[in-house]
Amino acid sequence: MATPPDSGSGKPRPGAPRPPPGRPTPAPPAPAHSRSNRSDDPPTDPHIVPPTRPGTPQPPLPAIARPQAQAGANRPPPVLASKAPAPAAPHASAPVRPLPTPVPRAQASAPAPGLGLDRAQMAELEQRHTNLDNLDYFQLLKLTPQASPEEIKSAFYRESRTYHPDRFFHVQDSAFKEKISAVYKRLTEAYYVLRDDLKRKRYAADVAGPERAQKLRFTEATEVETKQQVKKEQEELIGTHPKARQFYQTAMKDLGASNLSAAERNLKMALTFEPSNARYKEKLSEVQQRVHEEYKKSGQSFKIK
Amino acid sequence: MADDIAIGIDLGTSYSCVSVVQDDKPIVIPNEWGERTHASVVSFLDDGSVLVGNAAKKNIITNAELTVYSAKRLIGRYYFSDEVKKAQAVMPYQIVEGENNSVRIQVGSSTYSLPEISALVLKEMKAIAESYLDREVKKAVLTVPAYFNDNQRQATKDAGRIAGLDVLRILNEPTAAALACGFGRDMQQKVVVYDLGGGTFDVSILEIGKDVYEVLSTAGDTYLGGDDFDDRIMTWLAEDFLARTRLDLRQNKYCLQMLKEAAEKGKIEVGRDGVAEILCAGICQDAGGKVIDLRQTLSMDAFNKMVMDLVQRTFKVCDEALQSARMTASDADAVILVGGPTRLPIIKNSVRHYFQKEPMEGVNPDEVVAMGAALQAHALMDTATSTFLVDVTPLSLRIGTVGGFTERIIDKNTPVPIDKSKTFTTSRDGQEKVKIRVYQGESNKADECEMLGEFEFGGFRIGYRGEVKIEVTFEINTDGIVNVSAADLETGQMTSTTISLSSGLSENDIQQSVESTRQIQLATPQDLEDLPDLGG
Repeated sequence: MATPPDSGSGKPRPGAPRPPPGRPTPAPPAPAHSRSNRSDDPPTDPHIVPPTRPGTPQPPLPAIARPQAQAGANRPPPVLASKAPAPAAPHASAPVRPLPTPVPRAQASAPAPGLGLDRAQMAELEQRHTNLDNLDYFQLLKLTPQASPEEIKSAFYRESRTYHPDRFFHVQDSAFKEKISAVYKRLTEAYYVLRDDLKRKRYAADVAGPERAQKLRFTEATEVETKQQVKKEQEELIGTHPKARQFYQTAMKDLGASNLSAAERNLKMALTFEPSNARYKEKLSEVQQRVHEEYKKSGQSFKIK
Repeated sequence: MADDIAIGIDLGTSYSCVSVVQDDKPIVIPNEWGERTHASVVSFLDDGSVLVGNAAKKNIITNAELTVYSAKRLIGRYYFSDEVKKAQAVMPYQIVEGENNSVRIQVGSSTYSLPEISALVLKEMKAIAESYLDREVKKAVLTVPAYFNDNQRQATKDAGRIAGLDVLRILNEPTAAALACGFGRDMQQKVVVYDLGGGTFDVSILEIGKDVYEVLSTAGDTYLGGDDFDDRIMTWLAEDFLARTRLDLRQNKYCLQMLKEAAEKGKIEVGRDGVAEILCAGICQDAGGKVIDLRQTLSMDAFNKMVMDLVQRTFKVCDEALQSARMTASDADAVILVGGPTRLPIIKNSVRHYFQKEPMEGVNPDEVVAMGAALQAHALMDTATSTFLVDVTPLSLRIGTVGGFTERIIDKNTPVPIDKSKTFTTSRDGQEKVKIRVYQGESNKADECEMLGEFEFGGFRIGYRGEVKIEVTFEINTDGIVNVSAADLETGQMTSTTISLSSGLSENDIQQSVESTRQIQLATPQDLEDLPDLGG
């Protein structure tokens, strides 16, 4: 960064006379001697400098510098040549590079054999890509909102078989790859949200609600919100007022010891501190019910006696 | 297309391995001496040539200051990190500070970045493959520990580029191991990969279906590996020696290296034979000039006691991974052991006990990762790929907020590739730039997370505060590498991005390194002296 011979722009234009790696050069050095260097005499130490022979010319070099020229000259397949610049040319130049392969052009009209998708799949990809922001996760995975976890998984696997970007790794057409990638990223997102019960519940409520259009992509609660949510749930569970909590706990103990009248009394005390706590009320009515039954039972047994 | 070839390279902390798919089977490529794994050691010789591999390893003692090993422990780290401080204390080579808190290795009059050092190892791997295949190799899949963060992944990718390789994919090591183990076997099960390498520990849990490898969760510790086992033995040897002779071997880097070598040998021996005879002949001289030998016997019991806490730490990581995958240890259908240290009986027994299962047989723990990488490389080159891989991001992605806190954007163990957008507004009238700091880690405090970089967005509309909305998209790609981009929400115009405050190499640096590393190979000894600093 301190003393770059070339200023910015990421274009490899170094001072050395050697062509930058991977660039198909118009006049590559004769590939013949690199061949002989590397391969014609493999038994006699083709590439590694053993410690005992420090003076020999550095052998790994030919492997790196020369075969590139060889690739340009000796191996004519256009596909390979157009791929070769990838390591050296920064991504910025990728889309504008003239591609010698006719493959990408074919995409628009023909079934595009090089792309690995048939015509129907291509049409579907187009349609999904343009519609990406209007589909909810269930629609994206072609599922009903009632789908089981197994169905979600197998739907994601099914879509992956078609849209996984690794299938199209060799494809040159960057616009096509961009579409695949956009669709696939949304598919993983859908899978990630729907396979998690909590997230799925939230999401299902979101997309069923009035704000559906804004909530098609899962908006995760921030950590602070999540913590507050957990705290609220806990409070509901055990109460907010310390005295109420104490009484509630004593009541639970009494209940464990089948001391119903004490439990009833303590729950009533807890409710005086927190009259609106639903959980306390629920417990109280449960206890009262039991007290009532006990009373009935004991009454009957009394009669029999 | 069929003519094109891609290799898989396992770039390890201690050893590296290279593999390729031939006749639809992954094979490990030996070098011309028949060695299948190669020490990740780079030794700079006096004449300017560079020696890499097992031959270089011998120079750790004789040419200590010019021999770099365990570079993977330092790659992608900041100069101020603990790992770097620890390395400075024990490594015989010079670790110096470079630009932007980066780490550089000083070798004689030159300094090298870590990616440049690793590039030399990768070049050797490339050369091994080229001489074996008798053709040029330009494409490769490189593996990294699953728990590597973005900085470390990026630096590894840079190393590949500097070595002249088109890095098709950065693959997680446990995932690669699972790919290789699943290859050719009809597995439909949940598999745990327990990967204890030289310097890192990873656990990944995968669900393998007919044609799918889905990573359910991953967890790890990038500060735990076989080296730490060696350290325990070293400490024991040195303390014992100190008590007997009142000489501290750790004061001298030469003695320290001999000690390290003895410890590593002892560890392997005790694992194999149950007892190790350790002998360092002539390790030092006493005050009177008398040469002293170090002689010790290490029993299995003593060794197990020394490393018990390290072993237990690995199972804490296993707990974490199982919890994320919502499984218990007994739910696993198979356990795959990866990495040299897993040969130790204490590891094998503990794993058997923890998972209540015999580890999978017929897996070579040193080679399986490279083979998986080769399979993935082959699959990426092949048009008719039938299996697919779903990996996860190991760490949560976060952005810095006010007061040194962070907010989570993408949770750990989220499948990749994935992206997530967040809208920011300007906070001042006429604001021209928005800065975002991006972190990775599990803490909401910024200083407990790893900073990936500070992104600065500009080129959007200028307006009143709160009026301009910028949508920032965070993407984690299949390499596990993070990309950040931003667009003006109203106009949809993409904004320009600059990354400052990152230890990574800029595009310029890489081009320079490609050039200079290539020149190293070409240079006659005299030329090397004239080379400018390579650090950029």
